[in-house]
Amino acid sequence: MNWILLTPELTLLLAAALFLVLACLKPDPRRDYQLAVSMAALTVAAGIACATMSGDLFNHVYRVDLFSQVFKALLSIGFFLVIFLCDDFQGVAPTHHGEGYFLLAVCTLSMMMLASAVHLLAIVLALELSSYSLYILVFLRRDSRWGMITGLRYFLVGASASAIMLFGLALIYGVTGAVHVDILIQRLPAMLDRPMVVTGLLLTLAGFFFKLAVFPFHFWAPEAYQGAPNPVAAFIAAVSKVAAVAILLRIISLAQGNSDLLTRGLIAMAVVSMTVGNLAAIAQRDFKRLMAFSSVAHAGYLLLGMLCMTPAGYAAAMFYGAAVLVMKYTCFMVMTRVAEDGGNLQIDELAGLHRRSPLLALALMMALFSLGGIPPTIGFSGKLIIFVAAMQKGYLVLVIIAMINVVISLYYYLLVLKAAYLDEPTRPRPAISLTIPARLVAVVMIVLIVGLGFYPVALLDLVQAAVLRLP
Amino acid sequence: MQPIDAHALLSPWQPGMLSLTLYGVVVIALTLAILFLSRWLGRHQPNDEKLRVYESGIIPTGQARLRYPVPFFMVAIFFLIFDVEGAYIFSWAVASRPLGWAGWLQIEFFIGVLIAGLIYVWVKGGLEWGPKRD
Amino acid sequence: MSILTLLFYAIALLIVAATAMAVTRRNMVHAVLYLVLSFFGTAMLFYLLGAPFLAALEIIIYAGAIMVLFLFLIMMIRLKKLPGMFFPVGQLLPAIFICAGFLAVSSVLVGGNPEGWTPMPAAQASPAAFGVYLFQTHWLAVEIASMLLLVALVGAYVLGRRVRGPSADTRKEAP
Repeated sequence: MNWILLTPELTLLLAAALFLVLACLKPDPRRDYQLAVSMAALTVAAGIACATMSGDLFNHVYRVDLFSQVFKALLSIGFFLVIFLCDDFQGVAPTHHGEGYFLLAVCTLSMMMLASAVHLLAIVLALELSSYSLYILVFLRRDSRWGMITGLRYFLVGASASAIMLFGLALIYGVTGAVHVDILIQRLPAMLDRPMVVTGLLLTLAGFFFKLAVFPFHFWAPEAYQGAPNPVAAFIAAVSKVAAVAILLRIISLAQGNSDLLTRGLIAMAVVSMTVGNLAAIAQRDFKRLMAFSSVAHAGYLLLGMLCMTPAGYAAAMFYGAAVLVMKYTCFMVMTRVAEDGGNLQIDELAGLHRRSPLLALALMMALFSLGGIPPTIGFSGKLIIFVAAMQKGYLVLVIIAMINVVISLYYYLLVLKAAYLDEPTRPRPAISLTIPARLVAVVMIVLIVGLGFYPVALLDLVQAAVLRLP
Repeated sequence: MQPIDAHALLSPWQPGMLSLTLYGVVVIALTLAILFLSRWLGRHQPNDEKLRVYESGIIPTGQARLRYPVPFFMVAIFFLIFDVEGAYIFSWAVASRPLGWAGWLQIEFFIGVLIAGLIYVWVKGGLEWGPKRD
Repeated sequence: MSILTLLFYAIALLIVAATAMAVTRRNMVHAVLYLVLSFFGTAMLFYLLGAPFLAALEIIIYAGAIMVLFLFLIMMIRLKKLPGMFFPVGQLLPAIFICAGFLAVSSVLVGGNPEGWTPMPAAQASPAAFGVYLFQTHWLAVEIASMLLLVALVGAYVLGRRVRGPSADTRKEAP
């Protein structure tokens, strides 16, 4: 077995082991943070260094190829960014910082496995591992008013979604007698007219839709975001979506684009998801709840790319997954810096942000423009690529509905922006002091949002090469 | 895995099964017989003293429906987790010869993670019983 | 109909009956005991289908450990006699919803192909064969499971720690 292929995973495993040792030692937030950031940086290095490797591992259960490696690089970058955000980690009691880092590392590790696993058993176990780490991360919230109830609810909904997914997998296995993705690809397309297969596929997808917070499975999102410690909410909103895109692409590509029933189901979900997410977001006053509903809407856009079931559509979804990582992370970064004592942030508390910290206000503006799809941002190019892919398949009505949704979403994004730039704070608040690395990350995020908006070709070429590894 | 011939009578029941089945039948029959005999032969003269809850000879105080403290629950969860880990170790143990050194390394990693968890819980005081030491 | 089939249906009936009893009992401890019976039935079914190791695990883990956990949980929660309806409406609605969903799925499956049936190819696996298969083909899954259990351990500790504080006070005032 070629262990070098596993470098990113092994690095994360090492990091997780170290963090577990930290959890056992006397808590020292400063030391814990520094070690966590350096381990995360090491992971990013490993993730990028292994980006072009390929091979089969663990008796063909685990596949390392460009598709999985690009996702792993994205996940490791997301992991680093989230860990970086934990410098005061206010939402979690200092005695539990070690556990927090440990769970973040394990969760990222399992998401990497999710991107690489090609056997249903490994996929299910990796998904469970990532879900369980997330449930406990939500529970870690120091403020018991939030942590307990929301954590429990998140857990219950998640466990039900897992059960539904297992039922779907059992149906698929019952019909095809196969659990390996390679064999499923050979057997499934011929059987796609059978209701049992389509039901199985839809139920299986339901488990992954739960992760992505697509419409009927989105109930957990607002509460979990609100109840989670802020960096954890950033992790759920930005990083876990990347993993969800990876696994959804893997499963949807099984059908190889010739299932009408499946496409119709996905279209319905995409449309409802966009619309419900955007309409519900308008009414939100809490920043994290607003972001949660915006996530639901973005899940709809992502589905729009996937349901084309063409390489162009998959590439668009993958590109947009990377875009969501950047945009959502930037929003949550601003929120974490502005919120006092790691609490939840109301939108009117953003008032006067442009005076308290011009850099953060600028980052927020760019991220919101990007989420709303205003050029030249990564969000604009991502949406454009998705719409073009959908138009190639002739889904004109769908694209028009999506565009109307984009317009609706602009309304509430601009409301947030208005709070940050135009509203005057009711009481004067002190300026927000940022460390130099924090400024640097904010600048990098702005550059990424604008840069990839102007020049998306490099990333697009990469994801187009990556999706060719899918069948 | 050997395929089963569904038409043969009791095909998956290997010879070893017969003794286990007989043993099971004997156990159930014996239990029933003892229960029946003690009921049939014994005399029934219930009184208050006899019907009281048996607490090793001590007069019971309070009622049984008190709320159990959390440490009991935590120990139960830890027991469950290690029980599941045991299941994996059993499945390795019965096949340890054919699996060879590769299997040994795999189960070593598994047990290593298990021990890391045990050490974590131990060091953090999850196994502490009684009042907290601070 | 062979004896195998007869046994299968007898055990299946036992499982369904025991589970139905477990669901409808108002005394939680009785419900748990019926559930244990149901697990024993499932174990027998596994054995009948040629998976003795799985049958043993079913008894060790489900009937053993998980039921112990259930009993502890029942003892931990203050038992209160709930007056009125057996299930509150809040719990009844999701249950009805799930049942309706299941009914819809099964009617789609059966209605789509009412004549269709697949004979299940029966096979038996000795514990050793199972172990070899598990550790040779799926050892990645085994290692992921070990980490899952580690995370569960950490989670149980962190959660228990949080609950422990307030309950220590109630413990003082309870007797």
